[in-house]
Amino acid sequence: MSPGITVLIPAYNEAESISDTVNSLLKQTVRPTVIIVIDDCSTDGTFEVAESAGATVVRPPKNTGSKAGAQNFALPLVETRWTMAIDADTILAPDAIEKLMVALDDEAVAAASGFVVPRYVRTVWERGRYVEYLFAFSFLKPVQDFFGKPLIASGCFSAYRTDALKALGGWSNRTMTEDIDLTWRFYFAGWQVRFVPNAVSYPIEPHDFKFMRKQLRRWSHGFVQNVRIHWRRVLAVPTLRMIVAVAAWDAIVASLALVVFLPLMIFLLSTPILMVAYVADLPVILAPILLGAVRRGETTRAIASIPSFLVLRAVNAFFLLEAIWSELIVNRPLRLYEKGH
Amino acid sequence: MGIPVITAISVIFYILMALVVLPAQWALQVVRRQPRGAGRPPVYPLPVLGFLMLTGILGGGWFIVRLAVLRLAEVLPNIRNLLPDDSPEFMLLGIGAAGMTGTLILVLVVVEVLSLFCAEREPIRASGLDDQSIQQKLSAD
Repeated sequence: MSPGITVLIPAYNEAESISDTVNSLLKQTVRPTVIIVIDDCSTDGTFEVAESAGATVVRPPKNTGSKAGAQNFALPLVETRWTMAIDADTILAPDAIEKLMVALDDEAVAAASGFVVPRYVRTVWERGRYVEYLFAFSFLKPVQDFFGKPLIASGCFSAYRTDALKALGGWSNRTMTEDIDLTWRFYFAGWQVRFVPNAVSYPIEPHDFKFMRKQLRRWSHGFVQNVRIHWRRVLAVPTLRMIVAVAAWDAIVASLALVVFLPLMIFLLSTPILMVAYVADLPVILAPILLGAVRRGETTRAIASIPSFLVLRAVNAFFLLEAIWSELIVNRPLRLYEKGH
Repeated sequence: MGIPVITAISVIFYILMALVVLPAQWALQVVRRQPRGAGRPPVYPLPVLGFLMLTGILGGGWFIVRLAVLRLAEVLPNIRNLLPDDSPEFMLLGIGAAGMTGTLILVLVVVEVLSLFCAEREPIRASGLDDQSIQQKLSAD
């Protein structure tokens, strides 16, 4: 393997955003050796736009049907020691790669992922996601990383040790969330995964319900599918099993409370005052959110986005329950990969 | 169990939250600036942290809301009609919070027990690490 980094960017109809992504890579303080855009048979001119932006563009003979499929198509072309995966709608802070790669100096680390902040924070869905990310990446991920087991090396911006990635067969398309699947398989194989908070990426998040619905469905089903496939092996990894158990509890119990029990009690008992339960945890959740926002100089934006977070949380709870119902109870798994933006 | 008892429990949760979880988070930030594995002070294991955080969130949040409404009732007496001292609604909220915490503890216990009987372990050799790295890793674990 030669030294250096190969960036893989799977893209399907991303003509509007792909040049920004490639440009942000070309402006890095540590520039990647090769930038490969996998144009998954787009119909909007993604191929030409990516090529004119300076990327090497490859195209499978037919649409691979998933992000994992597109990434695997290009993986055999990677000859550098490091492989990086970035979404086609994601741009990076100028020093993001430099900071991310520091974590991979450790020979035991196979993957590292960075901090994620929505590029645009305008609609209720983008605002909700902004607060959700602030909470997750300012609090949950650092705690998980401290214990050496980040739950996911986010697919929108992660770097991998190429030989370890190839040894595992690349990304799997048996679930809707190939990044969870890959992260957990690294743990099962004895590798470590790191979260690097100062390596920042900016993806475009779903701006309306139509796209948010697709993304939430994919993420919810993907999580349940991964738990279903890997649960016995997750049980063998001490801290990971705790983190997955808490996430599963949150998906089931907290979602049931938000979407089923609370509305039912409010309706049956005719006691609207119970609605305070929807905001009862805010005083404490706000602490890490505001801490993260102050560090970024975005306090006002964070406070203004809190109501949207409450909306997104309830919608997210609905999709988690739907995924559990479909995947585990009526055995109707989600197989069609639909883009969330 | 009356409202004063639930309030007292919530206060305890909230104090735990203030005394334990937030400093723990701060400690994590400090620790993260040090090289990994070098001089890491002992921290609360994840289940304890999760439990305290959850109870803190639920109990503390509930307590603050109740306190705010009672304070408001001093200024606007009509609000008190919405909130009698032994309001069953607030009892429900308190019981709900305790119930959620209880289920989380149950889940964590079940997972630990399952890990004793159902865990499927992969050979660590699959990682491709050399012997020395494997030894270091096993020691670290």
